[in-house]
Amino acid sequence: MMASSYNAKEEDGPHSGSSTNGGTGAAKNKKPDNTAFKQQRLPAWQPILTAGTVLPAFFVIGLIFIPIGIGLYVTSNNIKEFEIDYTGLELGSPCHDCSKNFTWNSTTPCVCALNFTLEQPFESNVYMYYGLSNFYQNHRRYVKSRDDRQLNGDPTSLMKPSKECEPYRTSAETKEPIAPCGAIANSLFNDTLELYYIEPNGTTTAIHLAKKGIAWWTDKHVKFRNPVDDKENLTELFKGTAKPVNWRKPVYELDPSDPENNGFINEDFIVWMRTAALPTFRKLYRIIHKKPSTTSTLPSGRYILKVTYNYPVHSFSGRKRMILSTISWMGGKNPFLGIAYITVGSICFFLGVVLLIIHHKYDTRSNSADIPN
Amino acid sequence: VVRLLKTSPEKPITLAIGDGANDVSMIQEAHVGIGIMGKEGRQAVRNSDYAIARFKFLAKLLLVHGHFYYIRVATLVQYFFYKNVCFITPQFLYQFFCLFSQQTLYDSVYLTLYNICFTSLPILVYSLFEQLVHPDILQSKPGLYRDISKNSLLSFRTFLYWTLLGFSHAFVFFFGSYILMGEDTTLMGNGQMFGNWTFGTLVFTVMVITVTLKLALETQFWTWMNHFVTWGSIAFYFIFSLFYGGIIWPFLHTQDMYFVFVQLLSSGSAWFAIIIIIITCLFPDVVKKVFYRHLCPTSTQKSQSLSAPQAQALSCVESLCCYQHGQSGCSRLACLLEQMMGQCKASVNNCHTSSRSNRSWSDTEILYSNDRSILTLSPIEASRC
Repeated sequence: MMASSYNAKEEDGPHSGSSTNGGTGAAKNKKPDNTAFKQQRLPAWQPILTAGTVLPAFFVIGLIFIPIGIGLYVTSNNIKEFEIDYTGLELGSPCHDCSKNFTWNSTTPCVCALNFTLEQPFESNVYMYYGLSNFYQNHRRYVKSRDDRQLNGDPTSLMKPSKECEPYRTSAETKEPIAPCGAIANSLFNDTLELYYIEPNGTTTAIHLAKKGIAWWTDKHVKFRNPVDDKENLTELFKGTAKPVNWRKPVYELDPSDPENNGFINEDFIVWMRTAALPTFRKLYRIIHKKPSTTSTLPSGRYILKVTYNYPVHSFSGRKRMILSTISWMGGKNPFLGIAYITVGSICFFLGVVLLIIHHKYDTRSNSADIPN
Repeated sequence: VVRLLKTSPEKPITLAIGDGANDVSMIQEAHVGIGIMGKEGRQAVRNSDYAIARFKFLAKLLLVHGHFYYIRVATLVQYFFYKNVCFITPQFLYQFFCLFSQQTLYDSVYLTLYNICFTSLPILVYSLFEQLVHPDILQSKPGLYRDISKNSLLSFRTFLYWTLLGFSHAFVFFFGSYILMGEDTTLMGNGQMFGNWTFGTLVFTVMVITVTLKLALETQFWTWMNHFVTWGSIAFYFIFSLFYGGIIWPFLHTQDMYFVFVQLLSSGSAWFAIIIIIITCLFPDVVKKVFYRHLCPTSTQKSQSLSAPQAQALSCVESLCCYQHGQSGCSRLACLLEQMMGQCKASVNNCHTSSRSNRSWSDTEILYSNDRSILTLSPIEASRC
């Protein structure tokens, strides 16, 4: 490092004689320190990636990944999933009339029922999802269109929602602020799905669908809060606000039977507000808890899905479906992870073998000193 | 004359060295001008790009410093393009799935901090300290200079390698996450679903880790600072994300990232996905490096393994004793300890005589042996002080 940082300003040309003496004296002071840091002599580990170094790692990775991949694949295969599309576009499908005639501001609900059969019984907790296709919840204008401060219960934002919510910010007729504002809230999914099991003897029993525990705990208890005031009544709290344009009921009537699930903290609403990443998505709708006895949660047999068809999707060629799925520790049915681990593990192992051959063959050759001088 | 050389067909890079006022025009004309501070005054020095005190320093300037700086700067430039290709391409790929509405994949804070906080320090430390080969070997083997001549590290071929690597990594990040998460399955054990920010955070996490580990693969001279910034950058990313998503930020109208990172990390599938995506990205690169080193090694690589016999095993503390006076404080303390324990003499020569050497050149300079360990399966003769 001695060469680059010499400062030539002090010494001038003509005084070469005196400056040489003075120069050497001054140069001694200007020399950079002879420390390991400044002279780039820091102690260092200098690994070299040879076949010998990398071989053990490859074998280890291969031997670890393949069992992991098999485990993941087997776990995923044990997950049972059932999907049924109820959009009703085809002429013969049960919900065809509902999809054709129904618009979002119809007053009488349209109900359609679909029959399906479960080949295998579903054990343990069964999760019921609704799925939408061709619905771009990840569009930028859509994702922006929300006011988290209002949803957090801030009273100022309740009356003055964020500008991002335009054009769903204030009601056109009454000029009141909309609570909850924004396009995401406005497009809340409002189909009602019910499940009935047809017993072997012919009777139909309703299956109990739990609506708690479908939203993230932090969402329900921290991020989304109802506005707080002395008044207990939610209707009073939301006085002065209007309901979103496409809703039938205002936000304080989302679940009047349960105050813990009403208003902004309604779990269906919270689940909908978490915008999905891709145009084909599913959201958790209900949970069917496992029965305390040893009977399976959903025995195999015939079922009826009753749909209160409120949500129109034909205008954007979307599709709606209902999914029933069991869950493992790794989530839903996804064989990709298992397959990926098995593939990478096998390739690693195979390449480890190849490298072993190369290492033996070229071991001596790589150490020869035939470098030009 | 220099101008004539510069216009010759090969368009060489010219270097001129001189010490007097009559050399000034030559120094200015050449691409690299070196002035020597000498009896003829400071004129040459003031007009030069580099100034040295003795003519003999030119050898070290070219062969050692020039070599190091070129490798560092070339890798710096290539790495910067690579990590930004990795950064932006997933965002571009996401547009195909969000109707080209310019919805960002990552949160805006991550967009800002990626280049400043998460990936800047490792490459900075790399470009300050990287040494492919020991300086003494470089000086004694001028032929190694040919490995980097003709701007080889910034050639089109190398550029293509780094850029294509960036694109392929970005594709693996995005589509790996997409296939895992995107086809509408849940990754959580309680059946709940992720959103778009969680998806973006997954892609971002694998990206930051892979890009840092890629540089770790490129680094061949690991000082304590390299360790600190490399692992520290990854740790900082995790700590920052936990902090950023851990509170409801006041005065902000969007709390998109609240608890997203913790939810992502609480999913076992996400961890498995992170590991497999990182290994899928880096593993072909490792294979390529190993194959190239064995099948067509460059002279520099050959000389790296040549110096292995002189190296001492990592566990041998005596390597610290072999430092000359003026080395780092730690080594002096260790040497003192060794002396007190009567295990080692603070003498340089002992460390050399017993090491096996098959060098074909004569080297009279005393080696400043660093704490080198070459991890090969070929036997290393550890020397005893």
